[in-house]
Amino acid sequence: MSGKMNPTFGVVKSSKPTSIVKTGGWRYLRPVHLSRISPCRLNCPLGNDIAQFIAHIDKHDFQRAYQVIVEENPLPGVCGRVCFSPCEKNCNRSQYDEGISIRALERFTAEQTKFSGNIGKRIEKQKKRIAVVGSGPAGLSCAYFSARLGYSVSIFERGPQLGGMLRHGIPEYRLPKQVLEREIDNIQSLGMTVKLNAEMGKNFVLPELLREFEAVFLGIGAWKSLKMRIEGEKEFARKSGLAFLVDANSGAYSLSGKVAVIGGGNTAFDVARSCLRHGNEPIIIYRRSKAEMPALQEEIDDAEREGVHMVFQAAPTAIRSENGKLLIRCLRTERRGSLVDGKYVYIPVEDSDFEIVTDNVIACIGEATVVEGLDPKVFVVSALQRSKVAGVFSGGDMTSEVRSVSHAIGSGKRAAIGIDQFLKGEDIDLTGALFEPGGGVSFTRYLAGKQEESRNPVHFEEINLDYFEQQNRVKPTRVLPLGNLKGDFTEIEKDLSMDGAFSEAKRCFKCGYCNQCLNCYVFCPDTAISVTSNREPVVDYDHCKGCGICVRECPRGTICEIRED
Amino acid sequence: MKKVIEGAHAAAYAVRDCRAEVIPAYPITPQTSVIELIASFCSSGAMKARFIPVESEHSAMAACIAASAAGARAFTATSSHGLALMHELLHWAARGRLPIVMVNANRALGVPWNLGADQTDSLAQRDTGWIQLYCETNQEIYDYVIQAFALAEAIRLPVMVNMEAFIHSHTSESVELASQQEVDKFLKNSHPTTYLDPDNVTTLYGGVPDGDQYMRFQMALQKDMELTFDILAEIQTSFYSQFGRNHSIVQSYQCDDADTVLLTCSTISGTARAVLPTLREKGISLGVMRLNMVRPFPSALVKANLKKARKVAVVDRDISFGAGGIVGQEVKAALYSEDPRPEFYGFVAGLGGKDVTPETIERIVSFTEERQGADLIWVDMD
Repeated sequence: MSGKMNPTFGVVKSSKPTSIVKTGGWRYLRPVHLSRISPCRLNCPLGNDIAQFIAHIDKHDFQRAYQVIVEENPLPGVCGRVCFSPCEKNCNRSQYDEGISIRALERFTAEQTKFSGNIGKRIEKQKKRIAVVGSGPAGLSCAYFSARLGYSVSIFERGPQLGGMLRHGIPEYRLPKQVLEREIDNIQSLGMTVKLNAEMGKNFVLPELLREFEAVFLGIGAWKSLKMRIEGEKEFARKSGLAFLVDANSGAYSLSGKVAVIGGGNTAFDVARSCLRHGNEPIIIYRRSKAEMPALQEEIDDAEREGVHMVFQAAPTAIRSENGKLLIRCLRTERRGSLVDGKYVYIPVEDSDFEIVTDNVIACIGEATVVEGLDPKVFVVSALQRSKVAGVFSGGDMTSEVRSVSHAIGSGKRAAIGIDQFLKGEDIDLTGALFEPGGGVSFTRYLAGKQEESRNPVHFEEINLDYFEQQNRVKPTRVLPLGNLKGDFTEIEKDLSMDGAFSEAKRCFKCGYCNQCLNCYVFCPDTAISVTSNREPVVDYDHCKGCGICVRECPRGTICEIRED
Repeated sequence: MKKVIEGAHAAAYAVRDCRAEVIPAYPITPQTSVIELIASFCSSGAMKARFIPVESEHSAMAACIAASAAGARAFTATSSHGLALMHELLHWAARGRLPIVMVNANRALGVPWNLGADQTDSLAQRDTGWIQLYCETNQEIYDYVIQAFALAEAIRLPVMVNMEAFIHSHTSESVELASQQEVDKFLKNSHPTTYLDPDNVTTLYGGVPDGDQYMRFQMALQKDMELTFDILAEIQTSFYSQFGRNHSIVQSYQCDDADTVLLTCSTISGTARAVLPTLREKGISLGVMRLNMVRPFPSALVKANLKKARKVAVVDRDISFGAGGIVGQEVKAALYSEDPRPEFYGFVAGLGGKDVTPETIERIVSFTEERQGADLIWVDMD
């Protein structure tokens, strides 16, 4: 080019980037990544961090999933089999297609890691000593969490083996002993003293314990079966359901012929189906209708398929013996009035007598806790299981309105926290770490001294469904030994397959848990969200204008908009 | 080597021969044939370039800006709404002083939907700082794309080469294609500037300058753009000496003695030249002026060619609502300072690809013979 044609080429360059303009100052809504409560966790009686453990399964990190579970629950193999899954009833996904098989995923995790891994972290040793009476799920839980808090724990179990209801009350085909043994071993590996064949009221009394230990946890369960209070009960229906199961589980089975099982709860079904497997013919007699049976639906369905006969709306009034047989006289019942406390009242119909012929009668109509000389004040407890008797905490079936394994474990955890507070002379406000209505407590938060970041559970409307395709639920298969049940105590419910588990883990919304999908990072139009080397999103509040796109594109409601005031 | 090819492909061959390095592109009728042929060149290895199928024309220009700033020879093609979608980035590319070359197929803008030739799309972008060339033949398309890279890289401003929808894009003509060596030789000293250099880090386009600083940049752009005529003239001299072809930015045909000059920047000029002998025979003193460049506006050349004319009839294949034909306005502005100046007739014809026939031209010329000047006359619309 000739000289006169030299353009000036004014190119805009600077030493400072445009980021010196802090556009974040325009914001009036600030996006914050919060760890929020998922509705499943809200319902869990023991506060399992469900969204998080499923997120780890989704990433194929079973070890981490296991660790997350045992931070809050030392018995995933057990719960993964026998919990009644209140979590699943609250699952947000059920409003989209079908809820997640959470219980099966918990079991899957335990199976994949072969029930091992770093069992809960421990903090430094404390000088104080705690006695735990009863080694069912409540006692085992309290022992576990107290040991993790550094206390010296001594377990007192009246039987020759640990486990309580888990060992004696639940049959092998629902909870194999091998699984129970492994998880009890895990708990014991934290280091604790165990005294077997030591019964309160017989081998020692409570005041003795209180002298030797700084705190006592009572998890003695409810083993005294309620009486039907009918004629002939004492002679012909002496053995109750629980006692029967204890015998059956320890090999001392002695029934022959037909067995009439009175009741409709899990115990009745455990008894009936155990009888089947011993070659007897059971019949279940229940006062209300089938729809109102309190047992788990799977138990009822399986029992029907196994051929257990059931009679409904029948109330036994007397038992007598005739020609070597037992005859149970029953009255028909009918429903009256409206719901009272969620249940209908059934009353016997006059002159509707009929008889059922059988060889054995076992009553499973409920249990109570009866211990000679025990101060009744121990049965009433605070939110952290503290009773009005100084130094005594109680939990499990003896205090809980809802009698379940997960409630018991939850109560043991709360008691451990309550004891820790009591021994340190502290009075923590746990409203942040407690979840209603299940009452589960986060041990992780307790250790961190942190309150819950957000008490607002994630609602279905906050899930961005664009990121989830509808897909059928995978349920664990149930294989009934139909045909020849005798001697067959094989576990009925199978573990999920790897594919099935991944499918369920993928379907889980992981409500309120940041699983590092990085949608927020991808969609931020201002590149105001960056990612750490740990794949955690970080908001640059100097430049975030609060447009809210990240909030809406977070599939799981983890990002909340908070007013800048 | 002569090949009978459609205008879109002529553009693609030129892009290949110029060894463009980054082609971010989004399809739109009737330019898609341009990028499809380029894509096949990239796929076969005939071009060692990165073809980036982007999600919109706005992204296409965004990617061109980035690639060009990094020193790569960038090219894209679009039309009509695609060009409109890039609008904000057209400003950015020019003010960013980037030598991007783009082929635009002049096509009508909706509503309603229309695929026909119409130059409102590019003329509506005349303020963005892009140099704008308008082609009459497929040969001009090929030649101008090559010259466009040389011009853009010499002056550091983006260049838009326009062709008409279907009239050029999908119509085949004989085109003399150069060899790769010849184009390499022609562009030997031409290359984009690398603004973004990892070894010498600065912030490009950063900072928030005050009004004074800002205005200086824009003034520099205008002043540089004014050098286009001289710089392009040198490039065209060099092109002529190497390839033996020249296409002036303003072509006048029998304007020296014409009373009436018909002026367009579209292929309507070709129709006008075809009718011209007939009209001359009837005693009408007509000349035809064709603008191959609209930005920068070649005022001096336009005025020079209208020295003798008593009437100038601008035929716009476009419209600026609320005013009139765009080229007409540009011509009027150029003539403002002239004294005397010709009577002005502003015709709007052929929008949406509506046919402009020899009879149409005759009607336009009759109008100028019979009536006084007018700012906006709609052709063949009764």
